[in-house]
Order: sequence, then structure tokens, then C-alpha cells
Amino acid sequence: MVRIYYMGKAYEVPEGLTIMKALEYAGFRFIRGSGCRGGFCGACGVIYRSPGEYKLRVGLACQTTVKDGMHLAILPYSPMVKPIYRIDKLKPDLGTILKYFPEIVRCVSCNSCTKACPQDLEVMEAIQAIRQNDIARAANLIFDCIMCGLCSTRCPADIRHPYLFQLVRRLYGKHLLSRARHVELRVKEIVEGRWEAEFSKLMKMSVEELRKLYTERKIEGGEK
Amino acid sequence: MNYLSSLKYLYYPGCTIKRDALEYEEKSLLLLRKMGIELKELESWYCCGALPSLAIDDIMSYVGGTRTLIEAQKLIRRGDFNGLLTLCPMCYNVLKRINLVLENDPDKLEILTEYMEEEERYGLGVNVVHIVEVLAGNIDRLKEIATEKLTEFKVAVYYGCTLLRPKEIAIDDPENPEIIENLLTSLEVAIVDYPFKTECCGSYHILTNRNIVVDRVKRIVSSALRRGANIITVVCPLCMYNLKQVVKEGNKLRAMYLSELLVHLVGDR
Repeated sequence: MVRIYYMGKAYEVPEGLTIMKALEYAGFRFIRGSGCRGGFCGACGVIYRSPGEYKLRVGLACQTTVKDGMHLAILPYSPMVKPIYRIDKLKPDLGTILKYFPEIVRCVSCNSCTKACPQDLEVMEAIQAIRQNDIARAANLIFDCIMCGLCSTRCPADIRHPYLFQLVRRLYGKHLLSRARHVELRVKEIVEGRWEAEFSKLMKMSVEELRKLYTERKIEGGEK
Repeated sequence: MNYLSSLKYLYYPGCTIKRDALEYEEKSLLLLRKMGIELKELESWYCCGALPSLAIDDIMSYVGGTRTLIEAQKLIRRGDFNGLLTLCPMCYNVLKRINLVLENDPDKLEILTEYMEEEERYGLGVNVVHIVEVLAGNIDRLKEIATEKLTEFKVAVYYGCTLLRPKEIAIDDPENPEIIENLLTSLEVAIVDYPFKTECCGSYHILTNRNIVVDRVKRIVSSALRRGANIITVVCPLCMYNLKQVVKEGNKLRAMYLSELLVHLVGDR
């Protein structure tokens, strides 16, 4: 057993548990601040200090294991105002981003965001790429952002990373990435009703028939 | 000053160049390429902060610039680069001053090294240069490729502040710089002398009180005009922005980046 301090109160929990499981062991029930439990949804931010360490660390409660003597608090949300925009009316450049997120020019390259990121993203590099007007590079750097907001809680420039990066990815996807031609063709086929007969046939099938069809399907160039 | 004739430099563009002064970058890179000077842009670089903090304990404002210098240090170790070239005088000024502060104050370097625990230590010694120094150090190359004559140009050179002040980092005599005039004279470009070439354009006052800038720029520009200039040449994107508050398209006097002027001289192909 190890002793952890949740908001200053001591709890004895088994060694090796994640913070999330340890708190549940201690009797807490998560209504908010918990989601996929697999480190992908970004809902369970946690902030903690370990004994003998001056640094305040952050992580995901479902991914961070408890350590003896650690003090922690759950930090599932970083408060920030979400800007509203029409993505198809925006130009994919720094000017657009400065309009909604002027605070990015306050970045001093301290790298606290990168150190906080549970996804190990190069967050500071992404902010600097935006400042360098390189939206595509920024979008690729933060493609795996799970919007947990932990970087924003550590940022001395008060940057709203989750919404900023969401805008960057949207600008990139909407205006900079080339269109997926095959998707457009398929959508056109569907709209024109080319697959209606096939669909209605499927809709009338029994579960057994569907299952047989599914298990015997040909994948990736298997058909004639 | 022998190092200036080296032909391979790392390149730090700076944020302004990448958004508000794209034409300055385009002409400068074209010019250097034609001169046979090779540039390699840093793979990662960080905003220099645009203004060096003058507070003695404001070490935080050195972090971005120091990261850039460390990035340059890594590449210099692997390749044969003689320095880090800048186009923007603000960037030049900040990076050069960070070098100066860290050289003179080992404690500050120590604090920064501790703070940037994920980075290697900055070993000082990254030689920051401005494009004007490289051009002036390679006049022979310019002469070789200068095919055009700019007989109709009468050029007033406007230096602004940040290449010349403080004097410890100045590229020339801060009171009476002549480096650009000498460069242009040796390329047979007519120079107009006037007394305001190192006068401040008003800088960031453009953001809070435009009149300060307009008054100052009017003084600079009218003096150049009275002395018969039809071109005022600048090397700083902010000076250019401020000059253009007064100097408009179609005026008798044109504001032109030095790089563009020189591209006219060597032809743009």
C-alpha cells in the first residue's frame, strides 16, 4: 500500500494503480473527469507533486500511476472562452489566427507546454510554427492533440491551446489539404442512388444472412 | 572581419519576415544565391521577442533567442557554417545582445541552462551577422554580377536604430555609419547624404500613437527629398512599414529594401 494525498487528505491505496483507479479504490466515483480510460480522450487531467521534487507535474489520471507521498488534484478542464467562427470564410494564415488567438504572440518559448503534454507533442514548436505562418507544419505537429488542456494550465502566456489547435487543424483540413477525390466520387454515387438496390437488399436480410455475408466478404482487391 | 567572406551561413528569418516582409525575404535570398552565398534555414527557430528587455533580471525574455542560438550551435557543429544570418535588424539586435549579455554575465547563462533542462548548454560563440555585413564583406562578388546601371537612382540610405545601437553590437560607426553608402558607391549607385539616416522612425509607437511615427518619418523623408533623393533604401521591415505611412505609391520618393535595390542592379534572373 502507498499513501497519496488527494486535495490534502491522506488515502491508503494499493501500489501500482493508476490515479484514477486509486481514487475509485478510495471510494470516489467519477461523474466528470473520466472518459475512455485509455489515455486518448483527454478528460482526466491531473496535477501533482511528488515528495522530494519541487516541480509541479501534470498528467492523465488514467495513465499516471500513484507514488508514495504524492499530492494531487484532479484538473479535468482548463477554463477558456471558445471563439465562434465560420471555417469556410477564414483564410488559412497567421492573420486569421491572431484575430481569434492574439495571445500567441506572448509565447516566450519556455517550453512548459511541451513538458506538460501527455501525448508528447512538440507543443512549443507548434506555437512557433504558427507564428512563422506555417499552418501546415503546425497542424501536423499537433495532429494527435487530445484537447486535455494541461498545456494551457501551465502556459505563462495564457494561450488557449485546445481551441487554437482545433482551429489550426480545421484550417489545414478545410483549406490546405488536397481534397480526397475518391470520397467525393463515392458521395456522388450515393447521392445519385447507385447503391439504393444494394442497400434495400441488405436491409431485408436476416441477421444470419448478414453475418454470413460479412464473414465471407472479400477485402482489398479480393473481388473479381 | 575575414569571417564575413565565408560563403555558407545558417539563416534565421524571424516572424515578421515570414508574414509581413515576404518580398524582403524573396529578394534577399535571390540576391545571396546569385552571389554564390549558401543559406540553410534553421530547422527549428523561435521568436526572438522583437525587443530586448532592458531589465537586468528579466531572464525569461532571453529564452526564445537562446533556444535559437542553441539550434544554430547544433548545426554549426555538424556543418561548416560561419554564422547565423538575419535579415531583420530587430532579430539581429536581440540575438546579438543576448550573446553579449550571456558573455558578460555567466550567472545568467547558468540560470538559463538550468531552466532549459531539456536543451544542451549554450556554449556562446554563435556568430550572429546581418545581411548588410555579408553584402559589404563580399562587394567583389556583387561587382562581378552587377550587370545593370541604375543611373536614374539617387539613393538616400536609411539605417534606423537597431543595426547601430547599442554601439557594442553596431555593424558600423553608430554616429556616422557608411557601410551601405560605401557598398552602393562602389557599385556606382548615386548616394544622397542627409542628416537623418540614423534617426528613429518611431518604431512600435505606430501601435499606440501613429502621429509620433508620422511626424518623425516626415522629417526623415522631407530631408531626403530636399537633397534630391528619389529612393530611400531600408533594411528593416518595421522601418519600411513606418516609412510607408508617409511615402505612398506614385510619390517622387520611393521606399525600397536594400535587397530589392541590389536585385535591380544584378538583374532578377
